[in-house]
Amino acid sequence: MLQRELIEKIKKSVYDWAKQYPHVELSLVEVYPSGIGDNVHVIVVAKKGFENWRKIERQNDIADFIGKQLGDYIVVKIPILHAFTEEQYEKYEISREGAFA
Amino acid sequence: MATLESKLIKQDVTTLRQAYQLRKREYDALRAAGEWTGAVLHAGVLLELALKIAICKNMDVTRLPKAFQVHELEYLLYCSSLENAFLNNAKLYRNFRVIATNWSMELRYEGTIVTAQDADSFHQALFDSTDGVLTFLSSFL
Repeated sequence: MLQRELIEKIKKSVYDWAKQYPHVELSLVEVYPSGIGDNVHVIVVAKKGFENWRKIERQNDIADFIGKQLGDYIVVKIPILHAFTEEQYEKYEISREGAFA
Repeated sequence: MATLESKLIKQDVTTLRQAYQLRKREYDALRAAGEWTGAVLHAGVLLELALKIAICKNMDVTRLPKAFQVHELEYLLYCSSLENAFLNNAKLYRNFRVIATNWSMELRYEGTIVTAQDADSFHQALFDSTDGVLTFLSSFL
């Protein structure tokens, strides 16, 4: 599968994931090649719905969903997946770090 | 005359193993003291050292080229020849992702407060008895 196609499938999968949680309103989904092999990085930002959900737990929930949805027919290599609130993303953008923000 | 030695990292694999053991003792002490941010910072360093030791073993060298003088865990896993082994075990790869996403050396400079829960997530990701990343890498250490 072309990486461009994979990126689109991962993006769609993140939006499908969000449909399970009506209280979550996404404002940004970024999927891009990391530059290492065919790895991709994923950044998910929510306008609301992430405030009372621990970052590591929501990240695992999204990654597990993508793995279940796509993993049967492609190898999904996502070593980095951030799920930020808008406030956390702003800090991350400034520092390009911000593990726990 | 410049020698090629300058292209290698100064520390050899024995020194990296000693550093791993020392950082592991510090990690345990930080956790015991409830110093969660310090523990998380050390957790990532432990994985970085373990991957560098694994790369030494898989390249069959005692000193790594300076190209490995980096902190990016994704890059180190890719170079370790172990990426497929991780990808073949969904829980192991998930545990790697927890550390690779949420750790960076920049934590040294941040005033971020890490909670006990987050530190426990790191600990589980590294030391889970079946799928912990460092449990998996223990044969190299």
